[in-house]
Amino acid sequence: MSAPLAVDVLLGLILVGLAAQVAIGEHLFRAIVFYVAFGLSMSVIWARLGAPDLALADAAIGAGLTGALMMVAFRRLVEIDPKQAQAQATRSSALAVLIGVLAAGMVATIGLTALTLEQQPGRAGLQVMETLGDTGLGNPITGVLLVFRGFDTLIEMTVLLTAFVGSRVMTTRSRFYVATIAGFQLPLVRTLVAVILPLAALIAMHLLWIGSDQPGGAFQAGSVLAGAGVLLLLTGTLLPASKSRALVRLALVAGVASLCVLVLAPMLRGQVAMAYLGRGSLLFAEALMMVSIATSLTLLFAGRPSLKVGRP
Amino acid sequence: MTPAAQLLIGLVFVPLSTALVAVLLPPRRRRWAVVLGGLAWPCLLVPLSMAVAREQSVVMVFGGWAPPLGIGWRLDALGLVVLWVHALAGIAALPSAWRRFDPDLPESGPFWSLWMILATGVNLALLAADLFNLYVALELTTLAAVALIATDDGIAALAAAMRYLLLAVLGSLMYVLGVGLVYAQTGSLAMHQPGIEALNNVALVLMLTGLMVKAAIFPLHVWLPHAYSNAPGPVAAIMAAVVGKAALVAFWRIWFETAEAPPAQLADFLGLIGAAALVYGAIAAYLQPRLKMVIAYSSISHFGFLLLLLPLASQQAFQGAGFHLLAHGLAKAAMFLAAANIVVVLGSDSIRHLPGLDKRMPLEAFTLALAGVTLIGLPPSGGFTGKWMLLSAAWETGGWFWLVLIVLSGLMSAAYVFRILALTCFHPARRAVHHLHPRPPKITSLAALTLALLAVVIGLYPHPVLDLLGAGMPGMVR
Amino acid sequence: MTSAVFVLVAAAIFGLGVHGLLVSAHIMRKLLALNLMLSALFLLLIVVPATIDGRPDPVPQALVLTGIVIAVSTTAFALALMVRLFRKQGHASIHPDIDPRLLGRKAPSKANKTAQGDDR
Repeated sequence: MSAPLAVDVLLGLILVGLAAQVAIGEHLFRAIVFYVAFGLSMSVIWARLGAPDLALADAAIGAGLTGALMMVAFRRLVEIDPKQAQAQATRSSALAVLIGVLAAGMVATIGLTALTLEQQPGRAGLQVMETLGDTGLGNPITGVLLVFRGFDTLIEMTVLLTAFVGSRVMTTRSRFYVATIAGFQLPLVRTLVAVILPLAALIAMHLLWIGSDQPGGAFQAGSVLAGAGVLLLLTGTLLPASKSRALVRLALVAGVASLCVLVLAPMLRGQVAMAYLGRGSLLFAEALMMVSIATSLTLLFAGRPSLKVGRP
Repeated sequence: MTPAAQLLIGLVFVPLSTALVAVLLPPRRRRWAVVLGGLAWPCLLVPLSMAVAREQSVVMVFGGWAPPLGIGWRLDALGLVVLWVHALAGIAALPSAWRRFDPDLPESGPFWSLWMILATGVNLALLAADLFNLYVALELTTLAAVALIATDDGIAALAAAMRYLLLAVLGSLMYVLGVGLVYAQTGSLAMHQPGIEALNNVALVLMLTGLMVKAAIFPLHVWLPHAYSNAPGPVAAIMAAVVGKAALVAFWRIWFETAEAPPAQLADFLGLIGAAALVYGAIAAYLQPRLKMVIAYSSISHFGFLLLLLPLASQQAFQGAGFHLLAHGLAKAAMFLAAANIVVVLGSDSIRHLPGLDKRMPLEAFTLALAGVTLIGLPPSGGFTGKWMLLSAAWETGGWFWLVLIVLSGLMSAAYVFRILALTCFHPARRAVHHLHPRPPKITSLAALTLALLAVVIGLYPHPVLDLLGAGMPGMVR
Repeated sequence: MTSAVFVLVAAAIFGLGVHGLLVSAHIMRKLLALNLMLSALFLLLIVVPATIDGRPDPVPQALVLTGIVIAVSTTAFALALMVRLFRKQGHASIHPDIDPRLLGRKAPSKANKTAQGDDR
């Protein structure tokens, strides 16, 4: 891929411009919207740099879901106290600008120095590429995430679960949250849900399946499903429910549990912990991870421990 | 896999599966599962201690993929010591948590799950031999800790939790940048990287700064006093005992293991920062109007003290510092558990209410006294052993400045400890407090007292632990 | 050359994030600033290490993916904490010394405090 430098500079300028709008912009809501745009531009840059897995993940999770979570949090602030929610109180000062400039300078120096030093490809990366064939996988990222450094992924999934359980500390005490903004009396909404829901399911399954050999995987698939979940909540097809249900809790835990199985099962057969068990085992784990990711993120958006079907 | 390595897996997977089971169970049943898990994983420490005593360390590699391709775990003497602190403090905190978070409270459901998740994160942070694995472990620990602080619904606790979260994210940012630079330089994420020349100083400083935030080393300590003093009692106890220590242990490991030849000036500079933390924490502790704040600032002072290991790098200093970790962890947990009971009975932890405590709550007063003895470093307590070893190390290397500082730390700790103790034994003509709330079950007081007693008793029989720590840290100079 | 451009871009975004973090009192703005800084860092982590066979090194990519998920988890939790804090104290800031008039409201009075009451 040999895009001319000008395109890269342009992409960079767009990114910095959007970041400026997020950091310095006037209204909080505008800043959130620009953050979503910033995330999408980051995806383009990931694609430009040859990292399609990251592009997919950042678009779905970094831009989409983070933006949705921020917007719904903002909306809750507004529900509580409309005037206070946006209160500015920014104490702009020359010192802050100076520190910002110094920080940027420090990062630039570090980055440029690291770039100019004699660089060989990382040993770990080289070993991954060499050993990937033994695992039968085609996507090195999936290899790193689930085979070679699978334990990091297990803890990462636990972090996601912890975020949900942690948010429960707050939401057990608060009033009922409703996330619906547009009901089915609007004809467009009916069509939207009818089209997007099956499409999202299809795309998620596809991403899950091809993740072993092509860009994709459980995280991308799970976040697409979570996006569909957010849509359902916004349109009232799904409603937040306060009574926690066992099935939902199972869905939340399934991802971490499946990775625990991947770690412990080989030990029962006398092998090392997390010894590679074949592509099938990875798909099993990834499928359950997808379910967990979708459930956790949707419930974090809903602000309640469970969901119930709304009036269609 | 060796049996010892299998037990290592248990150290993380027993708390983790308990947490998963807790999430699955209905809220009212969760505490049973968590208590079981909380009592189960410490049992693994007994065979593991024997394994470490025999073999210096127990290692394990996931999937058979040797680093830098895969991730490894390592249990050495230092990790073992902190794991014991975690186990003992965790068990001692259970009665207090059981009473405080009974199932009628809405936030008790998430509390119990989070308690086990925190345990998982701490154990993992102590076992990690991979820089990025350490990062995710610390993230898990921080998130669980913040959520646990927030289980107290007061504005002070929520604000403290938020401040801790924001600062911790900032620390993580710096740490990750450092890790990225290490990878760019060496192509490996393992902590122990034999044979490379001096680690890029910038990477080292970044990682250490990030960890300093998490270990609340002055001047990056600002989150700690409010977080510890507003958290529910058992949460404060476990945080003081292990959460900050896990980051400190990581700090030491990166200093000695990863950066094989850190510059001496940096060691002295960090020693000075430790000195500043020590003095600042002690002075601030003396001036605080609330008991929990005194204990919290005392923690800041002692974390600074532990940083003195860096300029004094020697086997003896390491033994002293490691022993101090043990004694201090037990003593702090005991103090926070006692303070929690005091808050319940007296309604507040303001020191105005302390006079007459020795008559009203004798167990708690005695616990504070015993723990205070360890903090000051009076013989024959565990705190004394740690201080003595460090003093000897400073004497032998001719580090007069550090010597004076260590002695000073004892004196300053004495100042704020005696202030508290003197108040509790002081009987004014008119009692300050009029209404005493119902007392918590006696077992909560006894648990705290046991911890404080242990902290003193290990000073009487220090040799098993000292011998364990005797191998020193890999890469330690001299 | 491309890498250098993106390093500078990452540096600029990082600097903007730092500035935003220092200047804003509102917690959500701080969270936005932290997320910007994280994104800048991730960009640095991908751009700086050398490529393998023309494609970026898979290990940093996996690390960044993990980082993105951890970032979203932490942000989601922080948002829930912020909403709760807002409900309890009436403003979304953690600076204890903030002048209420800066936030556009009257100095706190007893009436205001009870209005913010608990809703267990």
